[in-house]
Amino acid sequence: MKIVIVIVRVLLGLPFLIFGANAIHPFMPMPPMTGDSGTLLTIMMHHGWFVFIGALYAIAGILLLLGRYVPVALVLLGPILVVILLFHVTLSPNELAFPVVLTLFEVFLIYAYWPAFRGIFAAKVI
Amino acid sequence: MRIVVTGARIVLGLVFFVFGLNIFFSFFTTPVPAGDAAQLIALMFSHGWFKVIGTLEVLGGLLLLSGRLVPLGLTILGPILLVIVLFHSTLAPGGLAAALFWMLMELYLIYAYKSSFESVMDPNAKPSLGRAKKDESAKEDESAHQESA
Repeated sequence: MKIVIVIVRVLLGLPFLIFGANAIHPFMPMPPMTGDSGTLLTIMMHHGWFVFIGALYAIAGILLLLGRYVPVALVLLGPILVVILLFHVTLSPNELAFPVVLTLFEVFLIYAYWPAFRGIFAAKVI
Repeated sequence: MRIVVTGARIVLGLVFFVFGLNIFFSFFTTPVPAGDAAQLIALMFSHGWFKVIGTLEVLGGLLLLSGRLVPLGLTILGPILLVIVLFHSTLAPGGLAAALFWMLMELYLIYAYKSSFESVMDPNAKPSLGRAKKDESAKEDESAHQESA
């Protein structure tokens, strides 16, 4: 089981490190920016959101690859994946498969590291 | 100190509960931004994003108000607040002061509930999956060893 967890950790970390680096310093061909999804991405890029999001991608990706602060990386990627899914479901449904696979990796790793998240779900009153 | 924590919890919870419900029921009108901010909001609105965001805001707000699962509420509201601050700092600076104020309140509450977040922040967190059995047998070995000693 341990080897499966390491593989999933690397398979989730690597794409986010690569796409994060690409968001900060584009080196991959840019997909055509058309329609509402193109408008949305253009606004986000024009106002520097890609640099911010790219930094979060890269940090989470590096943490996953190193195996340090893995729960922090999963907490960073959770909401990012929710928005990626939301984006593809509503604006770009043809490219939904890859985000769904990444989300399954994320959910599996949260399950694998579950004790780290128990504190967040503690129903205690201060 | 407890009263300050409770106060912050109620105020932040109420803000998200009310603004989240307002997305669905429009009790009051929120200031309409101009330019790129307006275009971004319009796109998000027309594709149903605000229904998702509104649901999460109501849920996070309710968790803070109820005092149950407050760390989960803070975990839900954290990224939403981060994007609100990002939105106002880049596209609609008029609302930045308010956004930063709510962010500070969120950070204060995370600090107040920091014991709940300690395990997430553990640098050497190890996966537990597939290890539980080994741990138990290790414990048994240990206790057997102690008994024999």
